[in-house]
Amino acid sequence: MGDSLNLMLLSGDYAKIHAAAMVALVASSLGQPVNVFVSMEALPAFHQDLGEREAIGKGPIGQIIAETASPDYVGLFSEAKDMGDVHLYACSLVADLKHWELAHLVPIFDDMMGIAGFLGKVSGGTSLTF
Amino acid sequence: MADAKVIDARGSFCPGPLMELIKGIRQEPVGTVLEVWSSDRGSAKDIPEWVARAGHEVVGNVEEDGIFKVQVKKVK
Repeated sequence: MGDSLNLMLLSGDYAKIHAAAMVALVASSLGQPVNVFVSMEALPAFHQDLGEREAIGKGPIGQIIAETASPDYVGLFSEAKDMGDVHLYACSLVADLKHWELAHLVPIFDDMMGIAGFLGKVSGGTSLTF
Repeated sequence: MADAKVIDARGSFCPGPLMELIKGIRQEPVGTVLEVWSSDRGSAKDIPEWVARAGHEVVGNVEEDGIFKVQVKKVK
């Protein structure tokens, strides 16, 4: 697979974030490069502090996934990175608003940048928004 | 079904069984046959799709007492 898969994580919905992580993992396992931009309500889901992470919304399905799925979305993204060409970028706007540095987030991010920076990295391929 | 190295992923939900297969197949030499055991119905369809895309071969796919057993041969 040549074209990259570009995922925009914007929602703070647990199930959507988990779904994005599964997509990243399977695409990575098939050799497809994956770029993930985490912004808006999704970024708190990647904070080091468990209290911040647990504040994200869970619908009925998300609740079951959170209780039963192992590994969780952080683990799935980590597996995806181990497996292939996967890069995660944290949104600098949200980080600035929350006064967070990259060190406040779980250690799966490659960098922190704005949307222009992300779009500059992913000029081609398929883009999906979660 | 041929003799195979079993990956017991019973009780694991999608994509757990597939993940176990992916991890296992990377560690084995070409020609190895792995057999994934899954209690997850979706994995019985998901795994063959991944195998086809990844360029390997499904050599068996049966259900026994609610357990789905998919045999995969590593071909590259």
